[in-house]
Amino acid sequence: MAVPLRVLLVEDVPDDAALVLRALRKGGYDPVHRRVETADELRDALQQSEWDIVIADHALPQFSGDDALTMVREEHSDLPFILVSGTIGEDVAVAAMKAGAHDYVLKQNLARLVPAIDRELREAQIRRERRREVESRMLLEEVSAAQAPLFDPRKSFACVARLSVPRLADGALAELVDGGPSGLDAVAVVHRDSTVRAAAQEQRRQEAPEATAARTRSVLTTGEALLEPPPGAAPAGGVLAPLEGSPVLRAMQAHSALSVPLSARGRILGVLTLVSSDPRRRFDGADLRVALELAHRTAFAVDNARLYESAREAVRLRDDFLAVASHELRTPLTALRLQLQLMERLVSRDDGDPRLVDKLERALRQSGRLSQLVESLLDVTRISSGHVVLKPERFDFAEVVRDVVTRLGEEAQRAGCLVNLRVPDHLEGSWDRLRIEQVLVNLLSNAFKYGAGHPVDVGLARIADTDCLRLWVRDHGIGIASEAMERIFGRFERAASMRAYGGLGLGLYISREIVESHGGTIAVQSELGLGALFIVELPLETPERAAVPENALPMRVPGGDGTGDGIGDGFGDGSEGIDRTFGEEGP
Amino acid sequence: MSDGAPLVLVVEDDFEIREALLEILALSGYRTEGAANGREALDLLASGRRPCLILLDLMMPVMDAWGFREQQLQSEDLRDIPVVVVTAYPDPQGRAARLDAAAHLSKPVDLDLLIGTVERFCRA
Repeated sequence: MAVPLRVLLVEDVPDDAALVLRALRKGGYDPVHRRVETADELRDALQQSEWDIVIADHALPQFSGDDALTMVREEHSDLPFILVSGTIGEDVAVAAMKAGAHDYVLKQNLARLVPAIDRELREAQIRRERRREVESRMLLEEVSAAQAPLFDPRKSFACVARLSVPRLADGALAELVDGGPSGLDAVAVVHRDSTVRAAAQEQRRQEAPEATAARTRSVLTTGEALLEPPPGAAPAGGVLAPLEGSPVLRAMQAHSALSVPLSARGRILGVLTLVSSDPRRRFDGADLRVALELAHRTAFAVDNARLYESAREAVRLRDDFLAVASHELRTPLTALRLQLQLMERLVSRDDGDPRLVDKLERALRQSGRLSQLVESLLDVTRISSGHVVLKPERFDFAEVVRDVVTRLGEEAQRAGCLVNLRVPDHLEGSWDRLRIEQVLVNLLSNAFKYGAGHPVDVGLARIADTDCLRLWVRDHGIGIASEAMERIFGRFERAASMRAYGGLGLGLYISREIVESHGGTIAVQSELGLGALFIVELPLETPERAAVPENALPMRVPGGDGTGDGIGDGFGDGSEGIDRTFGEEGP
Repeated sequence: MSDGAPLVLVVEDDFEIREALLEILALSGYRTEGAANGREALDLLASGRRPCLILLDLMMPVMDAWGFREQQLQSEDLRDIPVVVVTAYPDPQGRAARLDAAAHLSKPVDLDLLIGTVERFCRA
């Protein structure tokens, strides 16, 4: 069987050309040729048609073989080029090879021509395949990189389809399996030609849900790729017939189509179909390999995106549940507290049994704790669903600090914590008062809890030369391990063991959200066994900003009738140690 | 508790909470009336009762706080009676502010706070 060969002959002598052609035919080729003599003719021939090989005479009257080589290389960096000449000096030949000719043959020795061509065509083929491999790898890398940040399975898949065109195919169709009636959801219909793309998209839109193309259904059920037309069948005259089959493929003018399944963890997630609209291009084994690799990576990305989506949904559901549950808890808690308070009043009013009074007080305290827990739960679900609005108002921060310390006096006393206060007389600014109190209560409660039996230092100062303040709370208790430092600000996190210290582990999370909503920062310094220092920095003025809903309630403070705590009047910015301790009676 | 003692109207749909509030107020020397929703409250007021203060829950069936307040403000007779809102519900859109209440109390209600607030508007 004669091998068709498209030969471009750069030769001014027709007889010499005829000799070359005869040699080719003898060698088993069926040449289709054109002979050119001038630069213009050569340029024209290169532009008009595709060629398999250029055979050029070295010395032409109009222009040289070297010029011809240069011209060919301009258009086709890799088109096989063989120099044929009567006389070639070795240095000329070497120079020509260096310039890009693949071989040279002497006219007297045309027998060498065919083997040279054979080898050259083979090597050109190898170079072509290697280039494709590199391009495919680059495409795959690009696809992986583009997909990485996409958490939406549909976007992820669509991205692959778009990147495949036009490098891998003229058109692509990405279909995701979905549970709905249609079974398959087209997430992308792409084509290099925008008119064709529009027509194909229209076709897909019109397609009835049950009309999943037979080819896609086949891929879905077998889990095997489908290549049409199958490799091996020789197309007539090198041109493929348009494919029958789905209207979408017809709209894309498909002459060859490759469908691969996306499967991950044993399930088929969708089908990627690549289309060639070029009657001369047929998808082959190499294309199939690339497409399979593409599908593999895409399936992985799509699967991940799906998992991410369901995780987010689970979190949403959980947060919704928390909000409802904690709200529902408030109603009986309210009734309970009212009754307990009522009982307390009745008993003490009627000179009741002091044991009864004591027990009621304990019961009330516990219900107070319950209430606090419910409040933090509600608070945290509000904050984490982005529902917090700050309501800034002008007030004296120093006064609020003193106030909160006083209110927590009883708790401090029970914990055996002497509170050292270093707070200026006044520090005016605007913040959300309720939320700031919340932060103060949280930091102090933590200090009493984890630093029981030791003094607690509380300081406040304006940071020199800035419009910011610094608030710090230091305890001398168990301290925090360095691995736990970042975690303790997370939701439901605690550094020490859960059982020993009670609470839900939400306080610091809420405090950080509040501080950061004000435009401030909160940080901790600690060493195990040496206590912890929490530092809050806040701007003096809080811009009006919507973040969370109003009526967000602060944590309830257990009632204290306020034993006095030390009040300091020193200033400083917290970097010096606390140098005075005050007795309970005050300075 | 004399007939001259000031009257407090408690509008709250949860039975237990309403009863507890009524009892606390009675103990503190007030006369009390209870209503389970805005509609009942309006009916009570229509029958001639004039409380010195209305304790108003936000969310109630039949007619909620906003419905009640709208009606109350339309009546010359009733519009000057101060309203204190008592609520457990979160209020993302700040709708409670629209009620233009004299004060807000949040559940679970602190007794001292409650009595203190009532005293501001009614002398027992």
